[in-house]
Amino acid sequence: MALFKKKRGTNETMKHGAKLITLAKPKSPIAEQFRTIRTNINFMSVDEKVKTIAFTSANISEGKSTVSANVAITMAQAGKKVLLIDADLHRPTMHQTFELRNVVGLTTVLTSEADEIYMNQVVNADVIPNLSVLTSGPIPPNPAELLSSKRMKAFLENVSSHYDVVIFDMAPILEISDSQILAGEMDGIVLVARQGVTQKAGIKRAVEMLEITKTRILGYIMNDVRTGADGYGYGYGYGYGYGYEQDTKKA
Amino acid sequence: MENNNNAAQSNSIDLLRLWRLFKQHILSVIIWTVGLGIIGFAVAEFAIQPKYSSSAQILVNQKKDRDPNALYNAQQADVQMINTYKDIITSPVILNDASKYLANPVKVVKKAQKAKYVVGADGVRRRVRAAQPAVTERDGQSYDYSAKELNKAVSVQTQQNSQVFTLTATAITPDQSKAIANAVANSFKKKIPKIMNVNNVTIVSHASKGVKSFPNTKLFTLGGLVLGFIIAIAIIITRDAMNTTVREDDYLSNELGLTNLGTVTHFNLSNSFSLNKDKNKGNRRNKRV
Repeated sequence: MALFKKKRGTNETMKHGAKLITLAKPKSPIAEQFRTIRTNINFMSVDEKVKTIAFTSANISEGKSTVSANVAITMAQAGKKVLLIDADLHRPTMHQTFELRNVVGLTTVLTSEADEIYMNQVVNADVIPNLSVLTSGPIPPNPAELLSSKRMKAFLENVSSHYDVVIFDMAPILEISDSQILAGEMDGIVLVARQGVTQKAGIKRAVEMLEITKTRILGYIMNDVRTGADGYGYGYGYGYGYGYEQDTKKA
Repeated sequence: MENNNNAAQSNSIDLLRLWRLFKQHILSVIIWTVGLGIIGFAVAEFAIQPKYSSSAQILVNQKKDRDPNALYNAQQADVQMINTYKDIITSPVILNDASKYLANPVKVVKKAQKAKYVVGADGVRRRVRAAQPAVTERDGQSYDYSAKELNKAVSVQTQQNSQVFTLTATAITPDQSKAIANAVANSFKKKIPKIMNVNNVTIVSHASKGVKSFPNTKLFTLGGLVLGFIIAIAIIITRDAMNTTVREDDYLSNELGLTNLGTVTHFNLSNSFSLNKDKNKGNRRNKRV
């Protein structure tokens, strides 16, 4: 039966972490594309302050972790104090991406009985300058309950006062119900669609589900666009990138 | 007018899309086209039993009338008669004879001669020379063809306003086609005077060794190429039509009304990139400062 069943998703990111191209090749056209995304998200928060942003997608392996980590890095590089939270309690990846230990994390905060938690005990501060990372922590059996708990709300209010931007890497919205719950608490949601993989019906349903939660959808990011492929990629990112490179040479 | 413009626009987009699809799958198009072309060539060359055909040309001319006034009419009559000859050639009368000849192809070198007698003065008839049988010579290989099979193998082509008609035989070897064409032509020449009272049948040109008439390798190869190309295009278009994934900004931005925050091009970063190395570098730098 496996003959006609397409393999869904990969474990690549879970094993090796997301690719931090904005750190590895900051002058590459792709890093420039992430900076464009950062700028566009900034523009979205002109009227209403957008402090907590969640990145999600319809299904797994569409690039949430890669996009959220890279956007967080570009924001940190722009001088904002950024906290990146791994809220995907089913397939956490951030500890792999930033090569951190996942002994304590989000679930530690949510399951703790203590009234006061010292942030510096759970958050990996300044993994790169200005960017702090809160890993998922040990994976619980009841993530949905944890994420919808009152403690989560309180935690959210707390961290958003400490940081300029809080970025959540969420579980896919169609597959895991906690995402919808968490999405309702966010200032804004960014949908990640992967070209040629994300189903039209899937992303449509994801939008519907987010509309139910009354969450503001900031927009979408088309991921994994192959230039020269069908669709209308045109590869304009390259133009930007080369321009940037020339500028730095001149400087 | 506006509607027309819209239609034209969507049409041109479709063409553009088709072209893009084609470019994207150019490799599979080439593989299909060349692959089926090669298969077509191989089938024509090796799989199908080739057939060879060979032709003899026959002229039937009635020499009776030498009157110049009647000549034209006679000629016309001859031309019209060709259809009759055509039917006769493929009739059992001729084909049975040809079949017999093919089974035992002999050529008479010297005709049989009767014994010669001389009646002497004494009134006794004496044999001067004994009767001699005809001297025959084997004329090529013998082939086993029934009249029915010959009927299928032989065809007659005529040309308008020509008294010459062409007899073509098709067989599985060049030699066989030659033998059949010649045997049938000869049988016709031999038998027709008795049947139709025609006194002048000339075999203008005897059949030579057959040439390959089927399969046409070029045609098969070309057919394979064209078929491969069509199949490849059909597969590409079908797969594209059945693809329900998001591929254009158009769907997300126009139909779902989402804002396009940006695009991330496909990239590959080797797993060897490690964050900690960077961190160490950073730390060292900090220390120096």
